Amino acid sequence: MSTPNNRLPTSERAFAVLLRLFPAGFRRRFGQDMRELFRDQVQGARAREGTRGVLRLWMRVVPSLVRAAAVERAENLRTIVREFRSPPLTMHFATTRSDSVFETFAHDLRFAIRMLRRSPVFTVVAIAIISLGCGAVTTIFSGINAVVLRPLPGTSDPARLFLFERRTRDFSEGVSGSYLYYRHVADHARTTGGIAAWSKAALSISVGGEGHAVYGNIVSGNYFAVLGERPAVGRFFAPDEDRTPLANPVVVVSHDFWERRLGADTAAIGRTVNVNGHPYTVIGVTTEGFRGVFSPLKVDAWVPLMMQAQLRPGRDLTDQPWLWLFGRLTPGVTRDAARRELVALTERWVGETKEPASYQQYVGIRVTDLTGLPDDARRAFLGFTMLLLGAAGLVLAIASMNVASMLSARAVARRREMALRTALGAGRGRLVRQLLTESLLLFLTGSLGGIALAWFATGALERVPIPGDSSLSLELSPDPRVCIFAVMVSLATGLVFGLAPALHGVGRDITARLRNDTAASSVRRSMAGNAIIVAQLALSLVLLVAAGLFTRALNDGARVDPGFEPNGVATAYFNAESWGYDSTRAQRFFHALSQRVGTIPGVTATSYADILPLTMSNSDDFVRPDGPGRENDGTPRVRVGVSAIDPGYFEVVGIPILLGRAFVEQDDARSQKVVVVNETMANRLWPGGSAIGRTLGFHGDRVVVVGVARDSKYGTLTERNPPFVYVPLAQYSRPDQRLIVRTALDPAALASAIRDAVRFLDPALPPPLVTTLRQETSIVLFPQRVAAMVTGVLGAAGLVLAAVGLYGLIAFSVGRRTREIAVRVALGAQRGDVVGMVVREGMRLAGTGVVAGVLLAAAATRLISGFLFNVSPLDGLTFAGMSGLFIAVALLASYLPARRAATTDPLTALRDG
Amino acid sequence: MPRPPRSFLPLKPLDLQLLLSLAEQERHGYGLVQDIAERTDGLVALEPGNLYRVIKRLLADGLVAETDRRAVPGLDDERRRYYRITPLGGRVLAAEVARLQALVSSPSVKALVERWAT
Repeated sequence: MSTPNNRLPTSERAFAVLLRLFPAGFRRRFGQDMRELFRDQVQGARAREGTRGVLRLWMRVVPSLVRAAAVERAENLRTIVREFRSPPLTMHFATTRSDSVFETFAHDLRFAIRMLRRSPVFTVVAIAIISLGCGAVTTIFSGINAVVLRPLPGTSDPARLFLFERRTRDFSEGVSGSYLYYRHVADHARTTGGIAAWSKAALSISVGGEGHAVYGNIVSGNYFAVLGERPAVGRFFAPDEDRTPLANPVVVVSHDFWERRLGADTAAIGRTVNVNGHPYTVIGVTTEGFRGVFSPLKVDAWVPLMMQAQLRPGRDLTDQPWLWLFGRLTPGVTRDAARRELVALTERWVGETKEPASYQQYVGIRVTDLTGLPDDARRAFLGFTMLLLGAAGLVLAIASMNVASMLSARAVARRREMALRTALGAGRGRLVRQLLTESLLLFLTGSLGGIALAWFATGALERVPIPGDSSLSLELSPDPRVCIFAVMVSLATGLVFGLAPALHGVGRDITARLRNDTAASSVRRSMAGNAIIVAQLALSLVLLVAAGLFTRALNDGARVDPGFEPNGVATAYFNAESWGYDSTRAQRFFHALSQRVGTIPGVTATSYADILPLTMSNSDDFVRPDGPGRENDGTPRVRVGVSAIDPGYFEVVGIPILLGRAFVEQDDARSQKVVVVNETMANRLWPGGSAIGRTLGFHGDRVVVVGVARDSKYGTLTERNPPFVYVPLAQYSRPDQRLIVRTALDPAALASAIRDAVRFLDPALPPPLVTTLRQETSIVLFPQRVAAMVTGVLGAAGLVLAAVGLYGLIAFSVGRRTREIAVRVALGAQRGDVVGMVVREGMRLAGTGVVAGVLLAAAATRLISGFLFNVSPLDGLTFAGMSGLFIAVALLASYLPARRAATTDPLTALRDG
Repeated sequence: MPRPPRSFLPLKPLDLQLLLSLAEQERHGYGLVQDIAERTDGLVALEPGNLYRVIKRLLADGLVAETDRRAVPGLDDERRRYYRITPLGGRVLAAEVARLQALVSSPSVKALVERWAT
């Protein structure tokens, strides 16, 4: 033996360390010789020149050693690459001690590919299972990515973009920006490379006489520049188009609009189209996929802020809040510095201007990411989708456990091979690495399948209609970020779930395994297998319970009495502003339309409202119980929901008037301002007395209560009777209105009749979108519907995987116990006894799984209680029902192998076994 | 079919020195370093790194081989490895020396050298 290291002189020890620079193979072959040569050289140098000589030797040795090592490694790498390209056909049975990490890996990989190819059924099944689990996670992640993670399409350097909002100091309430406020911050901010403003605008664009209702944005001149979007064709707004009001009627259209309506023709630039009844010049086309700031909304046209008075007439919006603001940070400036500057600017603004007093409390600034959704909506969306991601994660875990037990079984089958390789000199670590490479390869391939699955699934999800806003549309398909996520998740899972079988497969006891399996290790294995199955069963039960709860909530929600009658009502949305109508013309039109629609057979009542109940479009306002008073004079305010309606509304939606009267035609702009309040409002403000004849302050007016309407649901199904106020549309006009029509016949069949009536009144108008109130209100149950669908699919997948796992385990155990069963049969056991014995084994596992699953589910369902309405997260019916379903499936999964076991012929089994 | 000796030519200076040294007798690493230093008057100084890279290559090409011989017991570390030149190595060395000889003795080269030599 050579001298132990700790007794070597320092310089030789240092040399030994340096030798590590060389590839392992080189070191193994020449390391000892090199050290001896060096020792000889040191002795020689010391003999000739003393310590100085040794130092000089070092000066020569170190650079040459480093260089040689570098060259050696580079050559090694070249060889590996070359070898990997042309794998030799010989089988590396016992892995030789390899030379470097790369070489080992390349070798392992080649070997893994060969091993997986040799058992194609195992490989295909394992990859399919992993694809399923990975596909579930990837699909949900695609959705999250598309809505909130992906940088906005068309933006450059999105990390520097930020959205900001004026809020109260405690951030509890916010207000959007007025034009003057926007100019103030945009002109004075030094920490930003531009602040832009925008608002939504309902537009109707006529091209060649054909009108199209589109969702548009009205934007500041620097809007595109701040986002970093470049025109695909033409140009964006010029500086002068951002300065002079009404001087530049120009419009930028989306790529999609350009393709569908302008023939994808570059000659469309410079063409005149009609926007809200006025001629506008098309100046540019955005890049494909650009969707403005809130990416779930599909924007089709952008018009300059300066054209606001024309496009949204009758409203002076210079000092009213109506704009969303966002900015781009100057390089090197932190978001917090920008926020501080904006706060300072806002405080100055509030101090200097004659802004209405009620806005002076909004001196806080909340700065958030500009990633496709307003901050509150993003939080809600993330909260919801994270739950779904968790559910998908459970499926991935179940799938991975299946694969882990498959790998385990395979590892057992390969024990003799492993033992042989160990005997031939392969180290334990080396074998583990080999097996791990195999499982990582499986999971990696599975992730590709998962991405493909997610591709199909997101395509299907995109086609699920979203009730409500028709401009909502999502592009969910996986992008590179999603693919990287899928691969990383798969590799991580592969590592976690592949390591145990690998370690297990290699084991320690070589000689025992060269002989054959020992009883002890077999028991250990089945214990591990049982634990995996129980975990799988438990997790799949959690999913089933979640799916059951969501379904119950969906039914429960559908049964909640909304307080009005959503069936039998057709509805159509109109924005008279977008047609270039002034308010007189609009009123004439709406009146004539309701007259015409009223004559359609089956129609019993028509009316208009600014918003529909339970469509997530409720608006809040304040009333002052003690009369109008003055702004911020300290008179108490009550926050209420408000809706502006026409006479006939209560009849159409089926809300009874409990006291007083509903609105009538005489409640118009010239007469006394009146309101109808709901029960809760009346009881809260005038407990014990009649509300009729009382007065309230509303928007500076003194309004008289003329009626009390029964409580109903307004915003959500879970709200507890909020105070609500109805005002007449004739006294508080709105540019956008919804026609509502009650019919004794099928409301969906009214669509063409309503569109005909509109065309009759003004053929230039874009045809309205006609839906039913039932359809519109279905949005309140949309999260439950999506969740029930997603968890239902995931739960079913989880259950099937777990059942297959259970079946596999029982079948395996039956196979192993063939002799025992044969002996029992030979000794007189009946078929039923054998079946019972095997099924009992399965049921013991299933029972444990149910108990564990119920406990887990009880802990987990609290997370979804917010989506469940009145259904308890511990709903007994769901838990019992799902456990029952679960037991039934488990019974089936263990009965099939049991039946086979019962047909065991003792003679054959004992002879052959 | 083994590579023809000519295909190894021209030899790198280090390879030539090493083969020359081993052609004389079998040597271990330090022996080679010392011999080559002597032969070249200290011009070629081998370090552990480059020496063994050259040996690795010459081994792979089959120009040198390890010997079975170990050092005299008790006198030297018995694990020290000795190298010898192989028959192929000998033929390559001979071919290279012949090539150099032809080069050196060609009249034009002689004339050149005489013109520049001081």
